[in-house]
Amino acid sequence: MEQKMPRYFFDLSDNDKIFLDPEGSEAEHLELARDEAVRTLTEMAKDKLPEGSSPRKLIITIRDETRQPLESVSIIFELKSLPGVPLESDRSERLP
Amino acid sequence: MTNPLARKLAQYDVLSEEENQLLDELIEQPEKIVAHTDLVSEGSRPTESVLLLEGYCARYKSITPGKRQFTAIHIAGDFLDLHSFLIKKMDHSVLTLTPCVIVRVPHARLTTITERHPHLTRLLWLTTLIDSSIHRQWLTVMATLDGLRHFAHLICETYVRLSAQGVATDYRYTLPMTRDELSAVLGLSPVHVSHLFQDLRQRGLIEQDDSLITIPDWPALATFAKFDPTYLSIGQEPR
Repeated sequence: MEQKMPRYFFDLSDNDKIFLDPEGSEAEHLELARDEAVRTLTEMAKDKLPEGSSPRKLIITIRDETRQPLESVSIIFELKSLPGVPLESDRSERLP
Repeated sequence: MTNPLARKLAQYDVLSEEENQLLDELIEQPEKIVAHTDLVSEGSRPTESVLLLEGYCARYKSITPGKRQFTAIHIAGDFLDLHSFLIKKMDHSVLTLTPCVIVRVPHARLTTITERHPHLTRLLWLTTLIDSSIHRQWLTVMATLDGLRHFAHLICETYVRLSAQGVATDYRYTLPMTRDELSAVLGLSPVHVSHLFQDLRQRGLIEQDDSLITIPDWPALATFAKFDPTYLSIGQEPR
């Protein structure tokens, strides 16, 4: 008989907004579930971060079938203005 | 029952009585196929072309065992495997997503049609051109829209195709695909797909009851998805 694969749930928090995973996905083991979380976050980062306000934090919490948290994976997007001395190379470009 | 293929072709031009009769003869031996069955397999050399009368199918490329990319979704009336008539060795596969009713048309019969019925031949040719314009659109959407708009675009496109075929009305239809299957269409992770579904619902752009999708505000969804149906070439004109 085929062995039943464990089901993992991937809840997302996007700054303060929480999206609970209603159905979960089957994966052979936790490492594959982690790959799924990483793939999802990088896809989301591509879409969400450039339009988001800074700082933006996306976190996926991986839970088991009883909804116990197992791991979390996160991406933080932050813009910083850096006042100060321009680089040597920048200065030389601007000088006549 | 109206002949689904005749219905499909009549989206683009008026069919003569003779053409309608010929199309009726073409679907005389329908076959029922269960869901998740390969109708066409990559690498094979089919001698007949599959025509879909009822249900949903997907055209796909295998990436690795167990992983595949869907490159098209086919609905009732699509002569989805007209490709194999001239391609010969298949570079892709086609599988049923739901229980389907199909007809297998021998290639020899297609040869006869192309030799004796030039107008019908042009219309069949057009359907394969539209298959490629859908591919073109998918490619453009994948490269230029974010995941949420990409998904919204697919929901718009599927509705327009189903409604042109007369199998969906009132901005409501069944999208009988699992999130893994949608993931194979959109090229996004299944978890991401679930999240996009929730996001579209929360924005009020769609309502979802299991596989039943309702679009409460068509202009809002179409605008959001940058959907323009020109590429589907729907409309009767001399071809």
